[in-house]
Amino acid sequence: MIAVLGLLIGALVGIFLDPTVPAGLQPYLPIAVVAALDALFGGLRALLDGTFNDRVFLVSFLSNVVVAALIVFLGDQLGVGTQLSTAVVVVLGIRIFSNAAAIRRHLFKA
Amino acid sequence: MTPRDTSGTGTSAAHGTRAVPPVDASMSLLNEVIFRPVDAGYAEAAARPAVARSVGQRRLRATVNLVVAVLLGVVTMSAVLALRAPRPSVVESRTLLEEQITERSADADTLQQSNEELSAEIARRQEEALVGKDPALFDELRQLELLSGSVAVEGPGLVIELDDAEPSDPDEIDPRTLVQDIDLQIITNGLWAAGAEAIAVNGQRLTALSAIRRQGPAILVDLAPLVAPYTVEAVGDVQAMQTAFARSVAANHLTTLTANYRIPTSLRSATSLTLQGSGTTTLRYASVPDDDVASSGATDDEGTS
Repeated sequence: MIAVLGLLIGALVGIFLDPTVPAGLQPYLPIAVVAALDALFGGLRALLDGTFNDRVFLVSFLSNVVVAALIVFLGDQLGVGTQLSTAVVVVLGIRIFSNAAAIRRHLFKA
Repeated sequence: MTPRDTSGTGTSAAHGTRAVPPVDASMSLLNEVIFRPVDAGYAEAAARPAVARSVGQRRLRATVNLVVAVLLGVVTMSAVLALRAPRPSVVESRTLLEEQITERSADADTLQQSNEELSAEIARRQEEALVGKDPALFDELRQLELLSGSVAVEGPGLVIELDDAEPSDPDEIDPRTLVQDIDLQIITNGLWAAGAEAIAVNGQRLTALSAIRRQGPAILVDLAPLVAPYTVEAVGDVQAMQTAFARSVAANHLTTLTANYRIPTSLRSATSLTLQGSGTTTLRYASVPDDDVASSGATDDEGTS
């Protein structure tokens, strides 16, 4: 639970301080946000499954964001940045969808 | 028979030892993504036997978790905010352009003002010089100035007001619900046709050389930009103008604007309107022809062209 609390605090601090992101990192932001969403939904589902774990949540969050950004970076270097971004978005999108469906089944039993 | 059992001989496959690859073997990636979306780490962590840790160790782990979580929260939120905010360079150049616009507008206003002052000065000097020497010439000059619209006039007339329609959705403004240059052109033409002797749009006097046109979203009369609401003032015989204008295409156009595009319009009469003069207009190319050449040359040109 500490991890969730920390994330919320961090988000509030982020809103309050509104730090500027270096221009060099701008291209990786959209994918990083989608990856963060995926980790959030995964964590929520694990919470409902009763297997939630702070460390796993944080590690999956961090690695998701870093790997997603890395993939886009590699894609940019290879000249297939947009295609790889699409691939990442598709995979993460499917995961988010099925996690959201599982959460929905948990909450509404439907 | 299960959907995966595709060997055709269902019983033998079920009892046999031969391993039949699942029909969707090539879909393993999708299956992996769709059916195991939750991170495998959660299940593993739950299955792992709990490790007994001292209070200090637990506190340390919790602190590290908290710090990492806060950092991740800040990073994610700043990413989200950065994605939502317009690009800084765009904002910068926009403010720069805005500053330039304000600056130049102020310059233009100052020039306009000095232009008016100088015009008044010229008029005064002319008056001084002419009144004593040649009153007839002065009267003629006065008359010409009045007709050309370079001096202020006063008289009864009509006032037509238009405003941009209230946008139903502030983000998506239909350009057709805004007053456009063509609308003002039609109205002023209608007023001239109805017998107006002098017309001003938002205080900008129309002369024989005036143009109403559009520059981007702004409407310019001569070179002065106008902002809504637009007021068209016309000096003339109120009764006659009202009747003639009501019959004209312009009146129809006004009704269309209100009915179709919700542009509020109003038409009223005023007992006394004062219209500013446009200042002295300069003709750069046109000049008075010599008398004898004028009659013959003009007709020649008309004949050939």
